[in-house]
Amino acid sequence: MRVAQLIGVAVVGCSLTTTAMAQECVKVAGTDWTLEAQSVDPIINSSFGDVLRITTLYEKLVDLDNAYQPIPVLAESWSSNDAGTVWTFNLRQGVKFHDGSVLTAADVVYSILRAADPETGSQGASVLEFLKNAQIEAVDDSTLRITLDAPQVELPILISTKYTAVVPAGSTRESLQKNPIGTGPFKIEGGFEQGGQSNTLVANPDYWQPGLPKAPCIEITGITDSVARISALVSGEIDLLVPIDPTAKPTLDEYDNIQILASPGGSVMTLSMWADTPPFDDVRVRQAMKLVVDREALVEIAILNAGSPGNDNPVPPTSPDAYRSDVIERDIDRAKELLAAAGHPDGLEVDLYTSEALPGMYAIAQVYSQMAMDAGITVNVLKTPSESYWDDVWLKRSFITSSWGGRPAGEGLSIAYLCSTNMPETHWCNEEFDGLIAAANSTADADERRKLYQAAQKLLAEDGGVIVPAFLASLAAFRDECSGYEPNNNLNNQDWSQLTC
Amino acid sequence: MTRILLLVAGRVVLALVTLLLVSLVVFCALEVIPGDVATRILGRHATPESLAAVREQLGLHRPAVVRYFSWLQGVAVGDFGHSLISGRPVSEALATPLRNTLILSACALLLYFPLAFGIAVVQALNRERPVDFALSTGTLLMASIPDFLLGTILLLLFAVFLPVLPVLSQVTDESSLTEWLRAVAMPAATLAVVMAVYAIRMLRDNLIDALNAEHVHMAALRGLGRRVVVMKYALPTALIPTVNVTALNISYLVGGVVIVEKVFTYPGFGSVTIDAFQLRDLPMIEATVLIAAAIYIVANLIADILAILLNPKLRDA
Repeated sequence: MRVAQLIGVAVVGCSLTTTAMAQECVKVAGTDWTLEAQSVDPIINSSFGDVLRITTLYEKLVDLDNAYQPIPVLAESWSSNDAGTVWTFNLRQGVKFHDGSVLTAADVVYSILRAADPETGSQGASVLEFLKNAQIEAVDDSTLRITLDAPQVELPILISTKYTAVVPAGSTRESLQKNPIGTGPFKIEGGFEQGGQSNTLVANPDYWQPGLPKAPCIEITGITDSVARISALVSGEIDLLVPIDPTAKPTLDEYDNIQILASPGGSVMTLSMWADTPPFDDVRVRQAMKLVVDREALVEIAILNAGSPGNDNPVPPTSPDAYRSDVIERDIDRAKELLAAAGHPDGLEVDLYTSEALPGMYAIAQVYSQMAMDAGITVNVLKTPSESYWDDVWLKRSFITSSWGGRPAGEGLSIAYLCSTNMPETHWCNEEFDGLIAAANSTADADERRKLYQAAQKLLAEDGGVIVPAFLASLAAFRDECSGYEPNNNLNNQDWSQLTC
Repeated sequence: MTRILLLVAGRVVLALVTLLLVSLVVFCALEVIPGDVATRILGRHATPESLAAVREQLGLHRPAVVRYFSWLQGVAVGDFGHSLISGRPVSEALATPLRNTLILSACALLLYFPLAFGIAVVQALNRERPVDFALSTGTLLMASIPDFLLGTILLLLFAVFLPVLPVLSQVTDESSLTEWLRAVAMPAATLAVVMAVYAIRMLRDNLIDALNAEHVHMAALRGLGRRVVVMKYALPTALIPTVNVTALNISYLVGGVVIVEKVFTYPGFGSVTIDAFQLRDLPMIEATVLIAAAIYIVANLIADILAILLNPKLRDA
C-alpha cells in the first residue's frame, strides 16, 4: 500500500510540486467554517475560524505561554502596587496599526473598555466582569493604568483574553468588519469581504517584530469533513491543520511527511454534576462518582493518549501549582462504600448528557459510563445534537460533559467554581473556597499564593461537583516542509509570526 | 399545443401556492425549534439584556404573524431580505453558491444520462446473458453505497492514493477551466452514479418491454437495422417512465449536493444552506428552502410536459 502510494505520488507528483511551489501563502485549515458569521472584530469570537482571523490580525497586551506565564506583547513591562489594586502597563514604543497610525495607550483603554462593556455586544463581557468597577485610563501615550476595587495579583493574566485584542480607538463593529485594523503580523488588503470560502491575509510590512512574519501571506480556511481534512494535508493542499481530533493521529502517524505536535497541557475535560441536586447533593455520592474513574486508562482509551490524566480540578497534576502530583487512583470498593453510606446500597442510575460539540467529550462520556458500571452506577449516556448543545444542554442539565480551554491555576479555579460564577456548571458554592481564592488574588508572594491555590484545589477535588478525568492536548498536524508553529494549551492563543513552509 | 399550454398555466398557479405553503411551514418550524439567532450572534455567555437588544434590533420582538407577512411583502417585490447575521442581501449571499451548484448539477446530469442509458441499453440488448447479470450486480452494489461514502471512496482513490484530482474543490471566479473541470469531476461523478443506479433498472425493464412492443416488431420486420429499431422506436417509448425517474433524481440532486459538496469542500448551495440553518438566519433559510422547492417543482413540471410530448397517444388528444 505504501509503495503504491509512493509510486502514485512520484508519477503525478511533478505537476503537484510545481503547483505547490507556486503557492507562496501558507495554508491553514481549521475545523469549522461559516459564511455569514465571519468575524474580524475581537469582541465577537465564536468559532475557530474567528480565532484564526483574529489571531492573525490583532494582538493583546500580554500573551500566555504553555506554562501559563505572561509574555510581553504590546505591553513591554508591567508592575503593580503592593496591594495589587493598581496596575501600570508600559506599552511598546513605535508599534503601528495596519493603517500606519501609531499605537497609544488610548487605543488599549478603548479596546479593554469595549470588550468589557455588555452594551457593545461583546462576547467577553461576562469574562471581564471583574473590571466592572475598575478605572482604566491612559496616563500618557505609552502608559496605561488600571485601578481595581479589589486586589487582583494576576491581573496581567486575566486581562489576556481573546476579546481584549487591541483595536484603534473609536473602532466600531461596522468599521472593523469593513476594514479590520490591528497590530498583528498579517493584514487584510482591500477591506474584508464576508462570505468567502477562505480568507487571505498578507504579511504586515510594518510589523514591530523585525524579520517577522516569516510567511509572505497566510490563507485561512475550514474543512468540516474529517476525511477531506486529513486528505488535504496529506496531498499538500493544506500546510497546517489545527486542531486535529485525537482519532486522526493514528492515521496521520503513518505518513512520514506529516508532523504532529501536541501542547504540553490542554483543555480541561469535565463531567459536571449539580452539587445541589439529588443524587449529587450528597458529597459521598459525588466522591463515589469520582472514584470510579481509572484516569490513565481513560486517557488511553478515550483520547488515544493525546493528553494527560486529571485530578478533578482544572490544574493538571504536572503543574508546579498542583495540589498533588500523583494521579488519583480508582477505588471501586470505596466508591461502593460511599454510595451505601449515602443511602444507595444497590447502586445508582443517572443520565449523562453529552454531544460531539467538542472533541473528546463523547468518547469520555462513553468510557466513564463503562467504568462506573463496576460500582453499580448505571450511567445512561444521552448524546444530543452538537449544534444546540450549548443552548439546550450546557448549564441546563444536572450531569453533563464539558470542555474548558487550558488556563493558569487562579483563573481556572475562579471561572467556573466561585459562588459568583457566570457559568455555574456545578452549582457548587463553598464559602471557604471563595475565601481562599480571594486571599490568593491579594497575595503578592508567589509561593504563598501557590499554597492557597493548592488548598482550593483540594477542596474542589474532594467536595466539588466536577470530575476532571483528563486534559486533552491541543494537536496540530503539518507538512514536514513547515516549521515555526507550536500548539498552545488554549486554542484561543495562536502565534503565526514564525510559521513558514 | 393548447393542451400543453393549459397544463403549464395550471401548474404555475399550483406551484405558487405550494411555494407559499412551504414558506409558511418553514417559518413555523423555525419558531418551534430551539436556539435563536441572537445567541448565535452574541455567543452563549450573553446577558439577557444584550440578547433582548439584539432581538429588538433585528425586529424579532414583533409577533410571528407580523414578521411573516413583512417578509412575504418583501418577497412579492423580489426582495428576499438580508441575512440576520451579516446584514448582506440574501440575493448577494446566494448568487455565487447557487451558480456553482447549478454548474455541478449540470455536470452531474451530463454524466448521468450516458451512464444510465448506456448501461441500460447494453443490458436490454443482452438480456439474460452474463453481461446483463454482471451489470445488474454492479448496479445493485453501487445502490447500496450511500452517497457520502461513495464520494469519500472516490476522494481517497483519486486525490490521495493516485493524486490526480484535488482534495479540495474550492474553486473561485479566478479559477481556470481546467481547475473547474478538476474540481467538479469527482463530485459530479458521485452524484451521477447515485442517480444512475436508480434509473438503470427501470430503463432496462422498460426497454425490454418496448423492444417487445408491436410497432417495434413491425420496424424490425421491415428490415430496419437493430440500432435504428432501438434508437428510433424502442427508446422513446421507454423514455416516458424514465423521465419521471429523472425528475425524482433532480429533486435528489437538490438535497444530495449538500452532502457531496461537504465531502469535496465545494463552494456551493449546500454550505450556504447548512450555515443558514446553524445560525437560525431566517431570511437565508427561507430563500434556500424556496429555491430547493422551486427546482423540485420545475423539474416535475418539465417531466410531465415531456411525458406528454413523448407519448404518441397523449400527443394528439
